[in-house]
Amino acid sequence: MPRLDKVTQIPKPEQIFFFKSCVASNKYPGIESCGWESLKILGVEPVDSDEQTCCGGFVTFANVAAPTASMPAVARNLSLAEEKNLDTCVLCNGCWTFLNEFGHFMNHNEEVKASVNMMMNMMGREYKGTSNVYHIAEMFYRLKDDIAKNVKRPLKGVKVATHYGCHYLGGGKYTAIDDAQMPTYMEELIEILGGTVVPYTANRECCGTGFTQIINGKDLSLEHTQHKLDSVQEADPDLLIVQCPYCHSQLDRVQQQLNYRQGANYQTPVIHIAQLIGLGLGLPVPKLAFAAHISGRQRLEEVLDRIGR
Amino acid sequence: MLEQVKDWDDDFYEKFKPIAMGFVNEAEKCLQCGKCTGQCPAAAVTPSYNPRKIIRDLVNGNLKRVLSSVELWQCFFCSGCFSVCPMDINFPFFVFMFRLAAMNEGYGWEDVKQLEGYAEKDYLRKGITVSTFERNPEVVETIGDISKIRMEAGLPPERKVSDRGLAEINMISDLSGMTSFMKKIGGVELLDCKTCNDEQAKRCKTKPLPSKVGKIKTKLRFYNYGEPGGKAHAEA
Ligand code: SF4
Ligand code: SF4
Repeated sequence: MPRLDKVTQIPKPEQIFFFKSCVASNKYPGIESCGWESLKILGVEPVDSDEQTCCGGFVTFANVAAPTASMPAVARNLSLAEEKNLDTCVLCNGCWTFLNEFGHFMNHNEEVKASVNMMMNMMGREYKGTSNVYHIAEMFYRLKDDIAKNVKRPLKGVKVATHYGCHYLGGGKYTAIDDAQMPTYMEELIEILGGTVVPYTANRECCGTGFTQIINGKDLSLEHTQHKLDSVQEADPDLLIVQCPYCHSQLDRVQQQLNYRQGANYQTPVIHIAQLIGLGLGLPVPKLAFAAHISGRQRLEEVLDRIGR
Repeated sequence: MLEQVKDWDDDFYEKFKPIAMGFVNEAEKCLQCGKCTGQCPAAAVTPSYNPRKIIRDLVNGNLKRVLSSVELWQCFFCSGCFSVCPMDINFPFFVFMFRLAAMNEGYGWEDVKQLEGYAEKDYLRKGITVSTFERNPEVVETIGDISKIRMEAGLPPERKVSDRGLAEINMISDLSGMTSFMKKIGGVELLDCKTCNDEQAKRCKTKPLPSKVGKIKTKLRFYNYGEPGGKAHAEA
């Protein structure tokens, strides 16, 4: 059950700083365009800046950047939102935890913050720690009444399964808007859009990317993802909803790799919550950018045929 | 690995705490309940991987066992252990700090080197860690040109980070020692399936351990927590 006290703390701002994600921009652009357009329809104007970079989470947890290198990178990205006096909205679970966690760390360690600011001052910036970071799924849940009012393309008869992703609920044990073991807010959003929720056994399991395991320990990673995909296939949803582009890329791409390696036939379309909301709010099909998706392309087309293009 | 008495360090935990910038505090509170291991995805595919045992070894000072283990590098960083831990022990941060400590002792560099390319070629050069480049030709065949899809979605054909942004993250990297670290381990050689020759393809499957990564001598890691797991091992 969502923690309603947390949800009501999320503001409904007029503007929000739109923090883009690497995977979303370069692999699944639909996430970026749908996130942007949906927020606009819901009355929150996204504000962009081309000075934002990657959150730095990947290079940090790959042990290439020590925390001394990633703290200033986080501070720099957050300071962009602070300059505009806005809160930040992210598309990715990784960005969410990383910006939140390291931001929190700096806010509570004056020394670290001071040394980070020394570096920031050299480039004419300052980190104050005033910008809150919200995940776009949180924003959607906060704006669910507005979503209900704006449904243009109801997902009637579409079977939808969810995958929340570890770095939001796991890493945000006390900061996320839902319980880590039995989250339901995405299901609620699906029902608002008129879809049918299908449960499956491995719902709370990790997608298997394992951060760097997909590169360094590919066998472990694929084995885990296959376990998850088997369970998904059993429930046979029309769409599998994720809220993290990294999970998205893993669950989407590994299906093809397993089909190729083992002659399996995994064909479940994976889409991001921003794309699902965009779908429900009636965004034009090119904006959804399903062309960038790899698995279950035919099934995606069938879904579009059924609910209207 | 054969453990020796001198590998133990009773004060290790206390010494490690400040080095780890407060990220490994409160390990002594661990109840050894095993909840973390019970739901761990890495443990599900590698039964010898066991966060509970790693925490025990940290507190007891059995550092050699932790630092020289293969298991240390098998964590998925999923935070599942933190989410179920009754004592709120944030184990993924432990792993993160342990890996730095292990590198200090000469372990795990080959893994880090493999990842360095993302920092060098993408993060620092383009500001975006995941590039549009596809290593898998089948993906390209399926989706075609990503910039076309971006344009159809109403986005610029390529996401660009401004020059100022790039200059700033490079400056951060230089000042914080990240650049010199990357120079130390040398550039990377990420294989591309399309241009890969037979010799490389063979290496891709067998992946021998390089004895040196850049200027750093690497050491062999061991399965210190039991038999390696995974389907491949179960069948072998
Ligand atoms: S769940 Fe927490 S208390 Fe229990 S063994 Fe794991 S780290 Fe220790
Ligand atoms: S973060 Fe690592 S140790 Fe914790 S549950 Fe995930 S894989 Fe296991």
